[in-house]
Amino acid sequence: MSHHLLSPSSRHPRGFTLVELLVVIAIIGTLVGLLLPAVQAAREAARRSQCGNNVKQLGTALQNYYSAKSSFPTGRNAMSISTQTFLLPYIEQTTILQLVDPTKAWNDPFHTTAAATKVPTFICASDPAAYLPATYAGNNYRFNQGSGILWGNPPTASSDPNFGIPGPDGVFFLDSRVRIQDITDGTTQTAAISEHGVGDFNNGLSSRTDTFWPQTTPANANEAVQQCQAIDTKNLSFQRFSNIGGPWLYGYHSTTIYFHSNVPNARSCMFPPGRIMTTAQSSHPGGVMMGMCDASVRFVSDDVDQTVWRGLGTKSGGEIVAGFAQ
Amino acid sequence: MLTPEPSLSGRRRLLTQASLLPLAALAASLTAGCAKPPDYKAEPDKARAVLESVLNAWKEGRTAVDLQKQSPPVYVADERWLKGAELTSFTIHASRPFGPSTRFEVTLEGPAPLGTKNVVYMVSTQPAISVALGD
Repeated sequence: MSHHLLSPSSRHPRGFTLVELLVVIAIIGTLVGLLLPAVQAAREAARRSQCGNNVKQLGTALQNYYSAKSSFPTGRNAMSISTQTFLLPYIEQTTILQLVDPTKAWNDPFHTTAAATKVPTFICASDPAAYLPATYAGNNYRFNQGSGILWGNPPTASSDPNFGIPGPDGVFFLDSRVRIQDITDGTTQTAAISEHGVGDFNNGLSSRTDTFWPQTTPANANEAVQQCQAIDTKNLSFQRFSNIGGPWLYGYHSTTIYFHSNVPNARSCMFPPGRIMTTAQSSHPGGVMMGMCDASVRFVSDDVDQTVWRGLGTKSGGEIVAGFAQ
Repeated sequence: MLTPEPSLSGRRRLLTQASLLPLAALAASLTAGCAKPPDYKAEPDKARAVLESVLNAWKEGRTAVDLQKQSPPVYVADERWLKGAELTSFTIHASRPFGPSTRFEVTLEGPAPLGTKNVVYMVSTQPAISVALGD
């Protein structure tokens, strides 16, 4: 018996006990649990950096377009062909431009291939874009129409329901061909580009990328903000537009244009006919990337002062817009 | 009163259970942010039936709010109906799945201000039923 107890196998255990194994696994689990949020934050920082790089490329493309044409590209033409389309030669995508005829409507069958052709510069990696139809190529970058709420240009007929509403005061709108001398606020103080996520393409689902419908008629941006914030977005009767962020070819408030009427990552609303409040919006925690008219890139917090944010949206409002970027 | 000391096997069980907590935390943290969004699919036949019932309700003089009160509720986003335009007839033309929705091309007819209009409706059936004017 005693000989058996002192055998080599009993003096040198064969391995770990179950409890020891569990303790080791628990320690590893705790360490990984502590590390993982940091890893995910680092990955998002990399994605945000890539998104900012795209904004920079688009800003540079705007400058090169300006050098060639002596104006910034239009926000959209009469066929609803987007700013993005006109920038294609300046981001080395001339071959895709050959698939576009700007004299034809964006949804003309001629444009089927272009509408489905992905352009990497238009995609932000932070956005999963899970529901984008295969026939549409997505777009995460929007051009600044200004701080108002009117989608089209000011109507001249007094019978028009939007008669008297101020027109776009940004840089990109219907048939705009803004020149630098028009930007009296200065190109460093005037926004050109920001972001918006791709939508869920489903009005049976409420998402932060959607454009909601308060069923009201605001007279100005302040009323639009107040009426948009007042609705319960879980109530699907306020759903209006979910086809957001595609195709890049389509110059529209849900695809290629944004407004400075409300702060970044606030909800977007529409007030048909013709009054719109599409905000800048992103998947980055705490704010959005913004490209200025001089091609510089900033990250602007969701907490930016609304007056400052609107001032950044106007090209000649004369506002003081210091201290807006991180 | 004294609390009885846990037996050896009881202590082992407690230790095992305590060790499982960090494991559960590990599993939760590994899967956090990896959840796939729900896979909503277009259901063209169901969507067509929904659209027909909605446009028939409009034709019969019911309101979009009436449809929200039925079970299951149907949410309609068409400002022309909301503002009281009358519909006398409609024709549903082409349709195609469009992401998780179905896209229909429709001709609406009615007295002014509606007149004859060619419109697009986007119809969703999951997770809720919705009919909305498209672009």
